[in-house]
Amino acid sequence: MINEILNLLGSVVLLTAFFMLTESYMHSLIDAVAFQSVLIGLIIGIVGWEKGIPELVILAGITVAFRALLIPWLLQRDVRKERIWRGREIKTTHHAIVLGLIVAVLAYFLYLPIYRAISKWNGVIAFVLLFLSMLIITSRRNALAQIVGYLSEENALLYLAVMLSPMPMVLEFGILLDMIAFVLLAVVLGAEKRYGPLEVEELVG
Amino acid sequence: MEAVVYLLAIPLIATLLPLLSERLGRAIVPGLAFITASIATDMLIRGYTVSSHYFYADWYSMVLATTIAWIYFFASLASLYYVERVERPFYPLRLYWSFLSLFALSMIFTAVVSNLGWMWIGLEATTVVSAVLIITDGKKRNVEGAWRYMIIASAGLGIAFLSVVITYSFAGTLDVRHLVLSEKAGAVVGLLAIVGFGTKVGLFPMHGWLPDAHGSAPSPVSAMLSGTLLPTALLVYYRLFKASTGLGKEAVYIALTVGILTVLVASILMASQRFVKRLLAYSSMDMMGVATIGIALSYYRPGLLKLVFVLIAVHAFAKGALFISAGSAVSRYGHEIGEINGLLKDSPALGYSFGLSALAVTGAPPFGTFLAELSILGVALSINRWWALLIGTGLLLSFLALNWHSAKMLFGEGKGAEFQRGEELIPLIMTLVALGVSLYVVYLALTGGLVI
Repeated sequence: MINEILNLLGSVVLLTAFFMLTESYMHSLIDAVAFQSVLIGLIIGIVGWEKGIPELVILAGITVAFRALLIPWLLQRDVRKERIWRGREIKTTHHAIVLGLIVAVLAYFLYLPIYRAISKWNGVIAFVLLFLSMLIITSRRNALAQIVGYLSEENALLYLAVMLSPMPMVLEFGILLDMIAFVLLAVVLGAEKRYGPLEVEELVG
Repeated sequence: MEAVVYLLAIPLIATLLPLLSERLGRAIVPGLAFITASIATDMLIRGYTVSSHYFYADWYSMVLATTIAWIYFFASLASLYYVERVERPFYPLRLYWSFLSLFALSMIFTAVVSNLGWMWIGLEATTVVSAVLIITDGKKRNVEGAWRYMIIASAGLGIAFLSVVITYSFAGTLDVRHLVLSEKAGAVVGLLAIVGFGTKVGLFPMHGWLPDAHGSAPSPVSAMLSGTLLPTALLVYYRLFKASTGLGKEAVYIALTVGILTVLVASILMASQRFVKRLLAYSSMDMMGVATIGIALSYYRPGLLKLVFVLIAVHAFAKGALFISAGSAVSRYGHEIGEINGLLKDSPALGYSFGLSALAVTGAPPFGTFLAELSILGVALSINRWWALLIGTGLLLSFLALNWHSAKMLFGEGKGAEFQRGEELIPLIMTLVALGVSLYVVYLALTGGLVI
């Protein structure tokens, strides 16, 4: 029963990743990652509750507090402040969904050697999610969208760690990853104050 | 309490105190860095190692920690001149001193802890701290370089995290002393580790962040990034490499392939560079490729590993000297190689340290890097002569590329640029340290104190 719930939640998480891949409005992109974080929080919480590991329950709380509430709120505030982004369609590749499917299938095949090594299937959704998140990061030129991709990647990593084997240090990992998200956010906000919205361009040389 | 704690406690003090005021940071950070480096050197000479619950430091960790501490000291000295040149800092400069110490602290921490998870955390922390250091200058290109660095490095460390998770779910522990992986798991972990941690090392094809980050970082920070951060990531990779080659050989071939490709690609890219600091960044990538090859070949000849760490130490000092002297040169002449001319005439000290260090990081005798590269070639030749041919080609190309550019900058009429005494002295001393370490190693090799 619990496994079925976990798998159901996992597939919804994957759907949010596909949604994020093609979403062109910043505010709904941020909402999507917040929703994804809630789901990941639920998954981590359920696993922690079932196995009786208090660290995982705390991690679930942190996930919801930071990645579903605090960081998305900060991002939304920033999007609202910058008039350019209000309703602005950031450049998404329209074939992103196809690319996403290809990456997902590729990730599935890349998981096979891992399966052969540790003979566990339950990490595969998180593994695919990891690759989709990296695709989100690399296919976007906009720094805020890349932060959203980073949050999704972080979700994928913690999800993977919890599903494969509840590790002893997973809480510390989670906290550190969140701190990095805050630093990314601080850098972007600071840079925006100076130069306006940040688009990553090719550097010369 | 283990003595290794001092190596962490002193940089921690140097992290906290500068938060009070910038002048305090300027006054105490170089001093505290010197104390850290002296303690580390003393421990290294006494042959100190530790293996406790929290810490595991063998000779390799201690070589690395000592190198980190010394580069930290020289970088903090060079920072005294750097902070005067910053016009519009991104954040208050007292934070610069604090972050510089925190950067050294997180690297030493990564080198001496016993747990793979903590190593990963330490490396991830270095990413954040060094990225923040890169944007000190507050120019747009700094922010972009730092941004790309953070995004790529955290994606890479995500893969590295995966290798840690799989290691744990297979071995049931994260303690680096007790890691044993089966043949299949070894291949998977070996591949994920070289992709993941290799991103931080700057190995091909995950090197995209390296030239931007090094090119836009303040010179003292570039020196630390290049000379010490890359080897720190390499040490973590080595721990996993050792675990994953316990029962299978796949990881050896993976590391060898990536290492050889890195050397070849870096040496080709070096030849076509326009900017000094990017040139030096590619040279670091080249050296890390050589070190990776060395680690891979240490599977066949374990003694080779000692020379790899000699190479890392000599490279750290020489590359530090290169970056710091390049930083001074760039502020007088300009960023492009073509703009720098007659360095030897304008400032003999800077010229000599740049020229000699360029020879050192490309493996010219009598530097320790030469000995290491020669042994790597020798071992490769004894196993497969095609490997040796590829490695040799890469080494030769990079030697020609870097020294050709260096000669263009060194000789010529000069532009009458003037340098402060300290700016000239710091790289010169670093070059001499590289030379001293090299001569000592050569002496050991000749007297039979160093057998591989």
